[in-house]
Parts: sequence; structure tokens; C-alpha cells
Amino acid sequence: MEILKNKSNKFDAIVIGSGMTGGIAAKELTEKGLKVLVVERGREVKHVEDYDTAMKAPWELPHRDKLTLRSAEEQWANNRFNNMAKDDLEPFMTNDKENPYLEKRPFDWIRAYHTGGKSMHWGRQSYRWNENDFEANAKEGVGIDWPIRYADLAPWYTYVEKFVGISGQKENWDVLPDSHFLPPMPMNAPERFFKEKMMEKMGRKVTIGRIANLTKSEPQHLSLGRSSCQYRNKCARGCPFGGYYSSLAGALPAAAKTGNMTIIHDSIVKEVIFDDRSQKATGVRIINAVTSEVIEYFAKIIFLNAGSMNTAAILLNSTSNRFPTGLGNDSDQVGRNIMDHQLGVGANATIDGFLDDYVVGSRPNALYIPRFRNLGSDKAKNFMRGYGYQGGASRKGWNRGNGMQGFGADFKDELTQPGEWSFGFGGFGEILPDPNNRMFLDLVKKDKWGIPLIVFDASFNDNDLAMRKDIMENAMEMLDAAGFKQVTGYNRKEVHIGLGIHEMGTARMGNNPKTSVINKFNQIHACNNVFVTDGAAMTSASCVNPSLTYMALTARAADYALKKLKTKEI
Amino acid sequence: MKRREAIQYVSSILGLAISSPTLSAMNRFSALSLSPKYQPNLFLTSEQFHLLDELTELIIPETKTPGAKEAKVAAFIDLVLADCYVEKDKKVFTDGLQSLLNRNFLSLSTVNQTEFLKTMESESMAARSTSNDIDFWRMLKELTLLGYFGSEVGIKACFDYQPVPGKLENVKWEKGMKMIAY
Ligand SMILES: Cc1cc2nc3c(=O)[nH]c(=O)nc-3n(C[C@H](O)[C@H](O)[C@H](O)COP(=O)(O)OP(=O)(O)OC[C@H]3O[C@@H](n4cnc5c(N)ncnc54)[C@H](O)[C@@H]3O)c2cc1C
Ligand code: SF4
Repeated sequence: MEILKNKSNKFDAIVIGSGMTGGIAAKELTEKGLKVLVVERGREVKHVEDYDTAMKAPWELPHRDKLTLRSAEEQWANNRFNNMAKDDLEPFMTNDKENPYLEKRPFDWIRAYHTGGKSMHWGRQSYRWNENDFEANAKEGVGIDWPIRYADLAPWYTYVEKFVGISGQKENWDVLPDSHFLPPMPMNAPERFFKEKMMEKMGRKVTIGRIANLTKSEPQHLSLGRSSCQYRNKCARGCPFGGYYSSLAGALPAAAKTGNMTIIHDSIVKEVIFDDRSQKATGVRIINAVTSEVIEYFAKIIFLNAGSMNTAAILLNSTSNRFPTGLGNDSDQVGRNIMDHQLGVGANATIDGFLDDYVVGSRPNALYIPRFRNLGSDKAKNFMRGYGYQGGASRKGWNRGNGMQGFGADFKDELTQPGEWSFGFGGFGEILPDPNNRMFLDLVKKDKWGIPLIVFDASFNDNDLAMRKDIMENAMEMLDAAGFKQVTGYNRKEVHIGLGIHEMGTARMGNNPKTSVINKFNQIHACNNVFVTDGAAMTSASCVNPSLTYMALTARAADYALKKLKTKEI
Repeated sequence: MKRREAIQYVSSILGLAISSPTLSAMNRFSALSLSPKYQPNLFLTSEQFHLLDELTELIIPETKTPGAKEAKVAAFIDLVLADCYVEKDKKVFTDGLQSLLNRNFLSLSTVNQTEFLKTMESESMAARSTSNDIDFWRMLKELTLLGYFGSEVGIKACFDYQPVPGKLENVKWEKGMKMIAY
């Protein structure tokens, strides 16, 4: 294969991946004046223009909410997440058959290879970590200590929040530090009742979900063409109004505005090129996904933002004399300590009353119940850390008919009227770092571009299983305490690690190069012009949704990189 | 309301200028709109299809709003059977239809047809408590409801279809209101 080496392939910085974190890296670096190349392995999706299913009416999706056999076969992994690749999202989710991975132990890996990555499809729940989240490893002797504390990240949270736009209610709770908020979305009537009951009966906090949807479009959003949310709740298909944050609606347009960004698609980064003479990374080697042509690009600094698992795979595949087992892998921690959040466990109930309450608009959001386990005087018997809950109340619609007896004219009429209210929520549980929960490369089996396949070897442990049980039991207890009816718990057995879609930890931060991959500014310890700022950087997982933290870490690292470039320290 | 109008309407209430890429995209969406051209008999024989058409109408009959036939529910089911169901489940469905054909279901009086289906439903409900296996009635009813309440005819007749609500508000439910579909 001919390798193109061309002087015009030189940039100040290369960002690998155009998703949630790659977008922020590109924005920050271009706004600071660097010429940046963003390398994206998937196809180009243009904001608004290419959201082909966004405005489709229910009847315009031929199979409605049924999964086709074709999708079930081609997207065998993505569909483990609630049959995600139905007619509306199938065009955007990665074809697992063409992009296979291997499971020594099962791992649910949900992927979206295209401009914006998973930021196009995320649930937008956005929470700050708290002080304890950064200190817990050290206090409890779990994994390794974080090299940073909440105070290091707090200003960067604010910085990112202003740009992204997070709607939420200010609460002044230590467990869930407030963000810089846009106005909160309203709770419905049964939810307000539930909130009061939880405080009264169990001393538990409930707040409206904190979400990256614009309840109000501020000038920084309007200037990118982002208007406020129209409450259609079809965000995962892409929003024609730019009503929710994605890399496509926010960071990439901002980066493009500077005139300093070049973005290439269908370009799979195979490896980072390390120069043994200068002991620095000099660029990346990519394979064009369509033509299989190999091309090299060069830059002073490289940001890895391919998504935690792919970032680790790129590092492992970047071998050199200095790093025979993969770039930055002196500690043997690259690919280890896979964490995620537990999902697929919770409870549902029905509610008597509130029959004269109704909601206009489809809220793309839910309630949030912050962690209470193993905090303060609460002590769980048989597991460490804790979990938060997300869910809420809604009125049943026509599909309740499936569980009812009857058919014919009266039955039809009944289904056109709103049913009773139902209430449901599920837990997001913290998973601890464990070096034996890992992914590695299969050196024999390769994909169609000759890149080694990723093998996952990870699972829940006893702590996780005990926590899952508690998540379900407590959810039921809370619904009972609220006086709701037909309380039923669920703890889905076919769920594996990965299904939380918060996969992280595969190139962790730390002070000690012997036990971690990157330092407190996300630089690879032994190769300081390479930054890892996606979820791979995480030293522990907290139980809150992670993307806001990834974005704050990315903005902070970009700021640092620029300072060090200026002083020629990298 | 046409999509483009809907967007402009929303932008005017918000006092926002909708960017031109948004507008051009709206045009593209309109052009892309599939007018779903279902080919009858994708999967079922015409005899089975005809029976299915009648069965869906018994479940969702024409009242002051259109019924399943007008909403072309049978064509939807035919398509979904072909594209979404594994052989085993397809067979459950065609076996179910076939056994009704064998019993000359369509020659029964409407009253007897209804009684017949009621018995079938009771048996299906009873089986559900002991087994998770899908049965003909369960499939038929589920697909009829989805086919009808997901169709343009069904949604527009039974609900207040609001593709772009533009607001989120707690309100009181009053008689005469329609449920909103999005
Ligand atoms: C349905 C769903 C719901 C979610 N809900 C939430 C939520 O409510 N809150 C929350 O915080 N998070 C949520 N997430 C998770 C969130 O989407 C991710 O945390 C976030 O997108 C991760 O950002 P990233 O930049 O690491 O990866 P991504 O956004 O996935 O971007 C990675 C990009 O890198 C590209 N890439 C990969 N490998 C290569 C390579 N070798 N070369 C070049 N490019 C490459 C990919 O194609 C992709 O575009 C959700 C995700 C999904 C799918
Ligand atoms: S709910 Fe809001 S952000 Fe989501 S698609 Fe609708 S308008 Fe856009």
C-alpha cells in the first residue's frame, strides 16, 4: 500500500474523533488560534440537513416501532440497547456486522460512527460530580487516587455549561453540585406529589433532570443557530432546531467559524506515530474507510477523543521501540479498569388519581433522585458506593390496549382517551475500577482494514450484583412509600457491562506513571504531546452521567496544552 | 400544517430567525417523505390478506372515526410480518389465519365472529399467565393497534397531532379534549 506523505498534511493539532469530547477539543484549540485537523472514522452527517428521520411522522417510518430482521442482524450489539436501531436511528448507528468486536465475556458496546458520534443520540442528562466523587478512591482504598479534586474542575464545568446550555433547578445540595443553569423544565402533577412524599416519608431528594436542552436560547446559542427546545422529544434523531446540545449543533460549528478547522471523514486512525528520536508523537496514520488508502498527518499535539474503547484500542495499536505494548502503556493499564454505569434495574407502578391532569408538549427529560447510599449516616450492608435514579410519571396512551381485554367500538373509543398515570424509574449504579475488567486487541483476527479486533473481557462483580438488588428493592420501597399501586421491580438479567453506554476508564489519570496512563492534565506520562480527554481518562466512575465531566476535562486540557505550547514545553 | 409552515410559525412565536439551513432542510424532508407505497400481498396470500383486513376492522371498527380498513392496517401488518418477524413467529400468524379460513370465519354472522374472537382472546389471556410464547391473537391485536394508532388516518382522526408543540405545560384535562400525538 502506498503511503502518502505530504507537507500539506501538517497541522498544529490533530483531534481524533468528532463526538462529544472531540468537538470540545476542536472548538477550544481552534478558538485559541491553532490549525486543527479533526479526523472522523464515520460518514459525514451535516447538522440539520442530514437528519433525515428527524421530522418524519410516525406513519412515515414504515415499520413504526418494530425492529427489522435486517437491523437485528446487522446491528446485533446496538440493538441490545432497547432495540435502538429501528427505522428512525438505523441510518446513524454503526453496522456491527461490518465493524465486529469479540467478547471473551459479553460486553454491550453501543456505537455511532459518524460526525458528532454518540453526542447526536445521547440522553443529555448532565450532572456535575461532587467533591466526594474525586476523594472516594483515596479514602476507601479503591483503585488509585484521582490526581485532581472538584475545585480543579469546577471552573471548567461552568465554562462548558455556559456553552452547552444545561437546564435544571438550583438546589444547593453537596451530593449534586448545581450547574450554571438555564430555567428548569416543569414536573407534572404526580411528580410534584412524589417529590413531596419522598422528602416527607424517606428524607430523599428529588429534582427535575438536568439536561442539555435549551429551555432558553442565550446569545451564545443563538449565534450558532440554536433555538430553544420545542418539546418534541425526538432528540435522538437530531434536532432541526438545535434545541439540544450535540457536537454537531454546538462545538463543530463553533470550531468551523474560526476558519481554523479542517475535518476529514471516513478516516480511521489506525495508530499514533511515535518518533523514537524526539520521544514525541509526530502524527497519525489513517486508513480511508472507502478506498483503504493509508495517509499520514502530522501535528505538534494530538488529542485522543475516539470514545474510551476506541481511544484505548488506538493506543494499544500504536507500538514502537519505546512502547512495544502500545503508546503510553508502561503501566500496563491501557485497556484495563473498564467502568460503566449499571442500567436495566428499577421499578414501575401505577398511580390512582390525578385524572384531571394532563401535559401539553412531550418533555425530553425525567426526574433525578441523587445518590443516598453510603453517604452520611447511610451504610449499605454489602456493597460500596451508590446509585442515582432517573424516571418519572406519564399518562398511559393507546398502547395500554395490549394488556387489556377487549376490542371493537367501545374499546377503540376508550383508547383514544388518556389512561391512568404510571410511574417508573431505573438506577444508574457506580461500577468500581478493576484491572481485570479489560479490553485488548486480538492479534490474529482483524477487521476489513486489517486493524486488530477489540476483545472485551469484563463483567459485573459481587459489589455490582449486590448493588443491583438494592437498586430494585429501594425503587419498590419508594414507590410503595408514595402510595402508588401495582409496584413491580425489574432487574434485567441479560444486561452486561457496557449497556449504560458510559464506558470509561481505559487510560486512567493518576500521579504515578507506574499505575496510570495520563497525568492530571490528561497528558500521557511518557509522551507529553498526546492528550487523552474522553472517558478513557476516568479514574473512577461516580454514578452520574459522565459526558459533562468529559467535556470539562477536555476544555481544561486544551487550555493547558496551549499554555505549554506557548512556553515550548511540549 | 405543512412542516415548513410549522417551523416558521414556531419561529415567529419565539421571535427567532430560523437559520436558512433549517429551512432548506425542511424542504428536503418534504421531498424525502415516503408516501408509504405498501405492496399488498408482500407476504400473505390474497385470501389471508382479505381475512386479515376483516379481522382488523373487527378490532378497530369504523365509528365516528375511520376504522382499521381505511387506515390500511392489514397492509402495515403484511409489511411488518415480512420484514420484522422470524420464521417461527410468521408461522404462528399464518397458522392462525389459516385455521380461521378453514372454519369459514368470514361466513359467520358478525355476532358469531365477535363471540369467536372473544373466546380466542380469553384463551390467549389465560395462556399468558403460564407461558411467554406469542400466540396469534396477541400478535393480531398488538399489530392492529400499532397499525391503526400509528397510521396517518388513525392519528389524525383520534388525536391532536402536534409535530412541533413549541411548549411544555401542565394543564387540566377537560371533556372534549383530544390526547396529543407527537
Ligand atoms: C442512547 C444514549 C444515551 C446516552 N445518554 C447520556 C446521558 O444522558 N448523559 C451522558 O452524560 N451521556 C450519555 N450518553 C453517553 C454519551 O453519548 C457519551 O458519553 C459521549 O458521546 C462520549 O463522548 P466521546 O467523545 O468519548 O465519544 P463519541 O461521542 O462516541 O465520539 C467518538 C467519535 O470518534 C470516532 N472514532 C472512533 N474511533 C475512531 C478512529 N479510530 N479514528 C477516527 N475516529 C474514530 C467515532 O466515529 C465518533 O464519532 C448516551 C449515549 C447513548 C448512545
Ligand atoms: S425535544 Fe427539543 S431538543 Fe429534542 S428534538 Fe425536540 S425540539 Fe429538539
